[in-house]
Amino acid sequence: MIEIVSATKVYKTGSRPAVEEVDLRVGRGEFIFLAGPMGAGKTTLIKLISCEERPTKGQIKFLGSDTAAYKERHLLLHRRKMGLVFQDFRLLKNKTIYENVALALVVSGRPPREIKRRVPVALDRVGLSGKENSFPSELSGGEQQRAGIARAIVREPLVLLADEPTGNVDRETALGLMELFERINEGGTTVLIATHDRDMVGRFKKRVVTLEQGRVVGDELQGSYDRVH
Amino acid sequence: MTVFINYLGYCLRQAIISVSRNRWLALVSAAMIAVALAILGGFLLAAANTNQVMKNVQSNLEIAVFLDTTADIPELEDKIEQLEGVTSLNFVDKHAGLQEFGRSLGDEALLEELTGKNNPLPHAFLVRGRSAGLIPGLAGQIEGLSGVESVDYGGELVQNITRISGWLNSISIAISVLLAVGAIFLVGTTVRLSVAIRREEIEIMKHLGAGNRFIRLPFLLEGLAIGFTGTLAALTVLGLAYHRFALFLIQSSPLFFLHPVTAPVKLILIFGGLLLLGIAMGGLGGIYSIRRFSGV
Ligand SMILES: Nc1ncnc2c1ncn2[C@@H]1O[C@H](COP(=O)(O)OP(=O)(O)O)[C@@H](O)[C@H]1O
Ligand SMILES: [Mg+2]
Repeated sequence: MIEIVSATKVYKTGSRPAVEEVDLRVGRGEFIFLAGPMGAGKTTLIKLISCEERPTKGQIKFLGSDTAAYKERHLLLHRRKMGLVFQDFRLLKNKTIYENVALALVVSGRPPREIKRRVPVALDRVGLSGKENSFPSELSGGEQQRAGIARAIVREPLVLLADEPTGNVDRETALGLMELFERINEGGTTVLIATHDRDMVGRFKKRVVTLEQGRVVGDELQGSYDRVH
Repeated sequence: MTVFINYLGYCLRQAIISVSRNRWLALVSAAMIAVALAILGGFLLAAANTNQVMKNVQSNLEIAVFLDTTADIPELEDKIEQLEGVTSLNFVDKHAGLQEFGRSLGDEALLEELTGKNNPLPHAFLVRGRSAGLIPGLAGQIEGLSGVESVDYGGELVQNITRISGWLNSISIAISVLLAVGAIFLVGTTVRLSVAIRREEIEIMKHLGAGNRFIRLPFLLEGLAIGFTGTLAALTVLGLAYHRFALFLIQSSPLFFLHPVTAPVKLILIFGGLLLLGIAMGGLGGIYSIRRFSGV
């Protein structure tokens, strides 16, 4: 589904490449941890996949086509096929949970009927039924992230990209969130989670792609992430 | 298209939220547009009226040809009638001229002493030309004919009105343009503030795959709304003021050529034009403030 071919990303202000000569194939329905210490290039790789950043060298292919050829319209459609989850949730403070989740459908121009039907389903899947009219500030960190996840899956994306989704919550909550990602993956969605949390990675026995200084240094099925010293 | 319509509701709500959040600045921007438009509108109305007055004056422009005592009236009448562009010619006998003069003073008795042999007025012709532009030339030709003492056609009045209204036009246009540019920038600033306040939301919407046009639309609408509000205020004030002015002129001016412009077509043209202009100014301000938002 996603094929990364020797991709290198050098930021304008960066001295060394943030991502260097990375090759990675992600199949449909896979669950992958993108592991590695801070500064390893996980976020950059996620941004390359979501086309927020363009590779300096190499290719990012999605469903067989090179994303470099995308015009603005394709780029938008590409982004709408992805669900993005962030460490800091990125919910709009002055909007309710319902409105936050609905925004994903609004920006892709879905009709009100469909929005009314799909938002409750997504909230139910993440266990937030009943919190529709709450504002983000009224929810715990874990609940806010669940709202973020609901927003990411409400369009039923092919791929869910999560960048340190458990970085701002405690261990127990983090575990719950990971289990939620697992369930979403079982529903058929490809899930890619960037994290530097070794412990978490170790628990789930999924495919682990380890990055270090921008390079892939490990790619194991049912792996763990304990190479880093 | 349906995508667009579905999104429009959202944009409208956003625009309303934004305007009410910055309502003071929005109000000042709208007021600025209103002032610019009111001045421009006032000038347009003044110009339209001046124009109409000029037309009235010009179409009634006559050359008064005063004859000396030696003039051969029938011969002169023939000559003048044959001049190119002359449409009518009336002989005003000096007695009739005196009566006319007396009437215009309001009391015919005043001039009683001057009647008959004592009449100081010469005989005269009143000559009309096919168009106002021909009048000065005709006047010159007629003045050269023998038996003509002098000619008079109010040419200076017309020239003065033309010159003064030309000046007024330039000054008003300059002021209006300056105000309009200022107003557009002010709207831009207001909308930019909304952009800044909604920066986070914009980022998130981009992540969610919202296109540039979708992201910009609420801000464009905000600018348009400000423009529309200002325009509406300006047109209301202008409309009321003009209504009073027109009524006053109609009721109090005895001079037929000082009739105000009341033709609906002309007024609709002026007010409709101002409406479009005001909305466009708001829209321009909105566009100017969001232009930097490029790239997804
Ligand atoms: N926008 C940026 N501009 C310049 N350098 C950046 C930018 N983003 C990340 N970097 C650099 O690229 C490297 C990888 O960063 P990042 O992808 O954020 O790693 P990670 O998410 O694994 O912590 C780091 O050295 C970081 O300083
Ligand atoms: Mg990161």
